[in-house]
Amino acid sequence: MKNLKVKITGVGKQNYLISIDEKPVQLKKNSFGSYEHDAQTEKDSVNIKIKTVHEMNSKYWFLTNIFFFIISIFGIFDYRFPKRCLSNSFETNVKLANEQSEINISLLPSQLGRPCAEVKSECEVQEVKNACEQDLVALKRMKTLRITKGILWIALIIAGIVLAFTTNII
Amino acid sequence: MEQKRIANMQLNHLGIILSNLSFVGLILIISTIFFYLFYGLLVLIMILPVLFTLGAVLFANPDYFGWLSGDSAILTFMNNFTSALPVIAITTIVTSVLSLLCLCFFKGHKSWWRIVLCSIIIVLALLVAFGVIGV
Repeated sequence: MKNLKVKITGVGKQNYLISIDEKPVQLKKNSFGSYEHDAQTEKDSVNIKIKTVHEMNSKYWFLTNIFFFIISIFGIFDYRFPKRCLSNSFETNVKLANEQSEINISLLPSQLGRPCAEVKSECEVQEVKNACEQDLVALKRMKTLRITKGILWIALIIAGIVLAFTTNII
Repeated sequence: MEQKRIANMQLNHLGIILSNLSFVGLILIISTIFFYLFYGLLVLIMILPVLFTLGAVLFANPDYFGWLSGDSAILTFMNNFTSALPVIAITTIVTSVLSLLCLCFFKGHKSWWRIVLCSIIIVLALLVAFGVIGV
C-alpha cells in the first residue's frame, strides 16, 4: 500500500472539485489555511483532477436563478457573478516511487490562457491539463439570464406605470 | 458530486440574499426607532410654547405672550423644525451611516451601494407612511 499526501494551497473562495483516481475527495484544512488529503493506493500512479464548478452548470439553473432574482427584490440584494466565467481545470498523473510520497499543488489566480496550478513534488509528475478557460456554457446561460432579467425589469416598470395610472396615484 | 457541490453553492447564494435582506430589515427597524425618538423630541419642542403660555397665565406676565405672536422667533423656529426637511435629512443620514456600518459584514458581497440606496428609499417610504411627506 502506497501513501500519497496531497497538499493544496491557494484555494481561496473558489469552488473547486477535487478528485483522486476519479473519486471525489473531501480535503481537511490545516492550521496554515491549506488543504490536505492522504490518499492510499495499490497502484503505481495516481490521477489527480482539480476543477472549478460554476453555479450556472446546475440542472435547474434557470429556475433557481429566477427564484433568487425575485426573492432578492428584482436582483437588488443579489450578488453578481463574475462576468468572464473562468473555469480552472487541472489534471495530473503522479508516479509513486516510494511508500510515502508528497505532492504540493498551489492554485494560481484565474487568468485566461494561463496555467491554473503549480506542482512541486519529488515524484515524477505528468501534467495532462493545466489551463484557465472560459466556461462557454455558463457564459451562454448568463447571457440568457441577463436578457430575461432585463425583460422582467421592463415588465415591472410597465406594470408599475399602469398601476399608478389606474389607481390615480399620479 | 458536481451537482451536490452546485446545490451547496446555491444554498450559499440563498443565504447571502437572505442576509442582505435581513440587514435592510435591521436598518428599517433601527430607523423606525430613531424616527419615533426624533418625533418625540419634536413633540417636546411643540409643548414648550404651551409651557410659556402657562407661565404667562400663572405669573400674569404679558411678556410671555410674545412667544405666541405670529412673527415670534419661537414660532418661526418651531415651524421650520416641524417641517419635513430636517426629519428627512437627519433620518436619511442616520440610516446611511448605519448602512455604512453594516458594510463591515458585507465585505465579500460588494453590495454596499445597494444597501445605502435601499435604506434611503425605505426611510423616504417610512416618512411617507408616517405622513411627514405628502404625496
